[in-house]
Amino acid sequence: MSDEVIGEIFARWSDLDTDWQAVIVGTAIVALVVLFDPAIPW
Amino acid sequence: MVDTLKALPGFVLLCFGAILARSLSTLVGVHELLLAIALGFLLANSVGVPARLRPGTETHTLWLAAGIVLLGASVTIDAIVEAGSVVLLLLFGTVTVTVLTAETLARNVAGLTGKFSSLLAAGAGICGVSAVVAVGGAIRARETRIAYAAGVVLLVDAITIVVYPAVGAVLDLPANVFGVWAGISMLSTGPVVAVGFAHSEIAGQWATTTKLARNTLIGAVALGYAIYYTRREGDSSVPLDVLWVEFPKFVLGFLLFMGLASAGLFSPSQQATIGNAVEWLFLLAFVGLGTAIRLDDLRRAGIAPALVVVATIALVSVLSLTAALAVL
Repeated sequence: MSDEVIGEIFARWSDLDTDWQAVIVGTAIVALVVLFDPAIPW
Repeated sequence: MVDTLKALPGFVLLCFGAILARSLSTLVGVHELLLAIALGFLLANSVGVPARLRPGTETHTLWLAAGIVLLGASVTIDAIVEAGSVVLLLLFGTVTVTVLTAETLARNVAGLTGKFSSLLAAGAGICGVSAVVAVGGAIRARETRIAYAAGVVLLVDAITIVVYPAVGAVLDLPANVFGVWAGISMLSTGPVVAVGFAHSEIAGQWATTTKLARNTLIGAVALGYAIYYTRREGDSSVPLDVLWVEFPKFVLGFLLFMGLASAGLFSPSQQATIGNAVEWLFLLAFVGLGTAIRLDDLRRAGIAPALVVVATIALVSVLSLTAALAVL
């Protein structure tokens, strides 16, 4: 990814409401757990 | 909103505090979440938090909300439905009594002006500082009054963090009763989650779920106050957008993961891993929350408004605990 794209992502993230940032952080953590946890049920 | 790069140095401080709180908790015999608040408080009120670290320490609201979103993965709908109607009844009753008591004491006993009494009532009745800011914006209260009321809420939060666990231990309250009691009668979400999980895992889940249900009322209360004050000032418009603007959107994330957990999509191992993530997010949040409690702010809040909220919470705590013990 170019510096421009990364800068754009950071800028959009900073503009988000804290509540939505929390939902994204939570979803990302659950996604990581589901993808990498050895006991995935499916 | 969190500016990521500016927040990094302060975030490192939160991580250090979280690791320290977890390492020291067994040694000093205090629950890690309460110790995290104490460490943040000690730092902010001794050497102080340097200005360049503040953007990071102020991210505590993000980590608390993210922790609550993840907590949904370990709460199942069955448990909520089972006690739902009783808890909801307790919740509505407590919020109504709290708002009316705070308004009455503030206006008729302490002689405080109309909008200021409403800020205190919203802070005591719904969700602490967030409610003060939301209602303050909706009724266009003066910024100094909003800051003052927020200071009062922080002072009472600091008192409840000490008193609630002590009462819970002395009365040997069952986990569900303690959790619901803290969730319906304490002020801000952070302290509710901290004392709930300091009591036990079950109490923490009940405290968080009940408090979230209470927080969702903020839009309705802000709308009610906005209508009351705009009509009093001769304007008949109804600012319905307040309902969505003030709604705590992270609750939607909590509900999403509660739904997925109830559908059996997470294995016990995954739930345990998510549970660990919740603990670390709460530790980060509470170190930051501790740094936000400043003795100077508490002193500036003054005695009369603080007495109004303390008297209200004392009365409501006794009534709601009696009710919770009777019906749960």
